[in-house]
Amino acid sequence: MLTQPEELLLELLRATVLGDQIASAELYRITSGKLYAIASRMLRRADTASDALQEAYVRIWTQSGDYDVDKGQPIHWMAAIVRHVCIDMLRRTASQPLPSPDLQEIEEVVPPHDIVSVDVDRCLRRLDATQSKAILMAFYFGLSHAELAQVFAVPLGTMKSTIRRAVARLKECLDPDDVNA
Amino acid sequence: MPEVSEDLAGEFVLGALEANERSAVERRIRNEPDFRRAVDAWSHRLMPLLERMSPVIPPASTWAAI
Repeated sequence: MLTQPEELLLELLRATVLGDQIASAELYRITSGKLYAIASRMLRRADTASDALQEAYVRIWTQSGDYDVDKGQPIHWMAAIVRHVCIDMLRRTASQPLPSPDLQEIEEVVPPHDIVSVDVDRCLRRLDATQSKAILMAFYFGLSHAELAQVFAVPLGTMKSTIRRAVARLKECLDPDDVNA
Repeated sequence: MPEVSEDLAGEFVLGALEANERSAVERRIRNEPDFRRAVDAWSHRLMPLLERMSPVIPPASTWAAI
């Protein structure tokens, strides 16, 4: 999905702002596979994933005028919307069975790149095992601090500081020139 | 941007915050341009992780319902 020309998505988003329904449908056709993958991973249920996808596209179409290139690639902006919808749904509903913190299982679901071309992947490898697993589980499964604490069988405060330290180290690794990092 | 706000923006994009913390962050995104930029920067840092995911075709009924 990310290899598709970003210009095409940008054009489709702009046409959507103008009410072009063919463009909206085309936008759905070429991006829904990626967004559905995100929703099904986070919600872990097909019916709610489909509901989340519907809600996300309605928001994408109505908010398409808010998109600008400062917000990153169009697909990332759209992905942020579907993640937002999913996390809201997760926080509202009673807890689902939580996934296991087994790195092999996480990586079966989301295999790392063979060639480390993505900076964030390179930086994740510099974290300790618990930190990187917790980051991946929060990102892909939308687990909260409390759920992560439960999954890793540690006190909530410990998990909060694990995440906070991991976030700070990621930032340091990703923005090496930032003197404040 | 104080470091604590930077970290909070990161935890928000990561998806680890509870519902009440998320609402508070969303208010700050609306009201504080610097904080919004910190969230955008974190989005920029973390969203490439989505490249790991292969697309999954949604059921046809999803499109029909929209």
